[in-house]
Amino acid sequence: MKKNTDKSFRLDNLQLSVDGQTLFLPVSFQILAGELLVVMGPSGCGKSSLLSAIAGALPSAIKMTGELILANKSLNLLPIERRGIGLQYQQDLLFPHLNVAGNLLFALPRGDKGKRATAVEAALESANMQGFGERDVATLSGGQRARISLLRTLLARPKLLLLDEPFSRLDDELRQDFRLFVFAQIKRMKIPAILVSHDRQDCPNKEYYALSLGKMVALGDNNNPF
Amino acid sequence: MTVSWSGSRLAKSLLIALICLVFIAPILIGLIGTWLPALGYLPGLNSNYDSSRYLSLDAMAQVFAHPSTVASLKLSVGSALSATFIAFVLSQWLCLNLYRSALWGVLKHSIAPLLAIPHLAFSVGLVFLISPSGWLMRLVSPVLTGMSIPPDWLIVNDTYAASLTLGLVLKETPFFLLMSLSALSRFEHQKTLQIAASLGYSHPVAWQKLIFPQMYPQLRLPMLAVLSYSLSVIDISLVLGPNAPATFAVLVNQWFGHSDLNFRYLGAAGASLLLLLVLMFILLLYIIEVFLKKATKSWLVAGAKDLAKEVVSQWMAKVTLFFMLLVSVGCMAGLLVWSFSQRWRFPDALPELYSLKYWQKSGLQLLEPLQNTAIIGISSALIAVLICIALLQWQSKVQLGSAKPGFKKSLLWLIYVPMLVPQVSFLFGVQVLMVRLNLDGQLLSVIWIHLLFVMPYAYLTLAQVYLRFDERYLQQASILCQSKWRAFIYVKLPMLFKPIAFSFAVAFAVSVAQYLPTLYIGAGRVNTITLESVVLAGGSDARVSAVFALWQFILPLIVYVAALVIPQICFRNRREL
Repeated sequence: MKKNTDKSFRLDNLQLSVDGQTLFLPVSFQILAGELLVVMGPSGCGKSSLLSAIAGALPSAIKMTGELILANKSLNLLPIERRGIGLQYQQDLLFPHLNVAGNLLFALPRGDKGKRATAVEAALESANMQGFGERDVATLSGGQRARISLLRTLLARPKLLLLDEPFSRLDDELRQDFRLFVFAQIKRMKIPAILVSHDRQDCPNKEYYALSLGKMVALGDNNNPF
Repeated sequence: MTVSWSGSRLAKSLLIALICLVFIAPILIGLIGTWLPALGYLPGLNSNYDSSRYLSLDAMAQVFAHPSTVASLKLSVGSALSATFIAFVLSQWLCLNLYRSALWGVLKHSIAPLLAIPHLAFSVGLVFLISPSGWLMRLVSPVLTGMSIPPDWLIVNDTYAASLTLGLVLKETPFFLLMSLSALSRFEHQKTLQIAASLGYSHPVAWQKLIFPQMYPQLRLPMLAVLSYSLSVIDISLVLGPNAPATFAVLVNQWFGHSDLNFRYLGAAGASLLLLLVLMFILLLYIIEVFLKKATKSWLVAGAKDLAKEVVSQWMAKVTLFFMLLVSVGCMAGLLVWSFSQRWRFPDALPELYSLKYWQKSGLQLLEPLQNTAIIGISSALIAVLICIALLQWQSKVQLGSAKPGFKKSLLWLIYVPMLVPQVSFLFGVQVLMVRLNLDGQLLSVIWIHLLFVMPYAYLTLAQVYLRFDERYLQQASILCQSKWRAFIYVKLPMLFKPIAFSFAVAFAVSVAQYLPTLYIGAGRVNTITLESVVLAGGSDARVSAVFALWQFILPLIVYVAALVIPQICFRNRREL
């Protein structure tokens, strides 16, 4: 990975602990705009806690030290709603009381009605789902739900995307499709992204890292960024 | 386990038939038995009645011609609507504001004890707290008020039914909180809030736009049940409500108990009117829902990301929760102090002399009511829990989890029917039937009628946990011990022992609190602690009232504690149970 630019995300000496016990040794890395960092590791090694720490959604029992810098600004003291971070979980978490367009509109900032509707149409088109706006989310297939969920996250124009095993609930065929869709969107939006996964197939290139035995190690044939 | 399509359909039909038989048939018979006298037909009494009035609306006309009717209706509708609305809004406001605070745990843990206090015992305690000679006035007198005798203020039994409304709000808010927690547990509310926050929404706005709309479908029926209860409640109205005129349900009850038997027609017409009112409010709520859904459609997705100030409202919510807990503790403490007092003159904050006299005196008087209460409560709760287990086992077997949402919704409505229909609207009809069959005034009949009201609560407390049980445990056990029954008894039941015990405790508490069903079907020959408490609540001796109200609280408390402790003892070395 390269040197700092305006849109990059940097993590300096991040360490998490519960009751004085560290979850992993201090972690530092930097992700440039349009790049994806894949984090792997066994269950309980702290992968999801790492994402929660970055998002600002850590349970009060977990203490954090270290610095989170996004686009040259520290995130540490900001609440989750002011961090400008997009979250994508295993579950699509589509809001069942809103239709497809409603779910997407929810993510858009307040503004001109026509422009917002156009943005929704464009988003649906990018996922080959034109005309789906009025559909009840309950009628969508698993793959369609996953796409709408990601589009909703991206419509809020996040400066960093956090993906917590977003492919694990999909079957093989859908997984590959959705994976490519996610990677393409990250490139298109030119934002840094972190993906927590169990599957090495989820790495778009050979750059990935593993949280193992309490510390983060670089795997693959990339240059060690630490 | 899956069943074939036709088998599944048959099972569903049988399930609905069983629920109809257990939950609906007695109500339907009761309603018909009330509607017919309301239309002027009551065999046995008709010799006194003008036969030209058969199947006419004369009785209804008489109800409206009665001088107390309009005022009573106003009081009932006013107190029921405001109590339901305030309790519902308050519960949602507390959830919204306390969810992220350290008091969320306190809130969650305080619901069960608050719910465990029976309405009647709570009401008597509230009288001791807020009446002109109550504890609050004693605490500030004479220093702040300068009063050495209680003021002549109409606080309890006030003409606007304000104290009745206050009592209902304080008792129904914890119920709504419990239902809200249950609704929250049905979806990924925590992650939904995180997603909303990551999209830039503040916590209150995210709660209003995402959490509440997803919770509301689970809260609709409890809200209607509370409204119906508040409209038709009699025991609490007798203690806290106005006297002249009383609330409409009390008035109807007075007509049913009038020495002139012709008032039965008025009673039946009034009871039917009460049911009409409930139905009208259900329709009104539906219209309001449709309107609000349309009105808020664009607001929900308008992208308003106002970062509201939470600090003040969070602080106010904390104070409100503290106040609610304080009032409840104050009510129960007031009962306790009164029950041990020998002499307690106004404005002393505490009694001058203490005594065990009233507890000892009440011993003999209480023996029969306590015995009856325990027998009826244990029997009805036990039968209810057993029927619920059978129903739920069947439900999990035919995989109703995959059934259409419409079917599941109608199932829930059927189970809720006994909670939605005002008791006074059909109990008279059941009473008439019981008299005809010579079954009134018998312990078994009272157990049966209690069963009707106990069952929905037993089902609702058990259903969620029971249907979530991983059936693979049962499959594994069946393979290992080669018997479905043994697997069920030795594996599933022990694993679900804790929620079953809790469901039993809730059912028992509901049975203990039943006033009207015991009064009507017991025909004065089956006396329970609740009947005695209502009679004594209006009496002049606060000490006796306190002892009886406390007994009404102690019985369910013992069962609640047993339901918590016994599973803990049985599975003391099992962390997962």
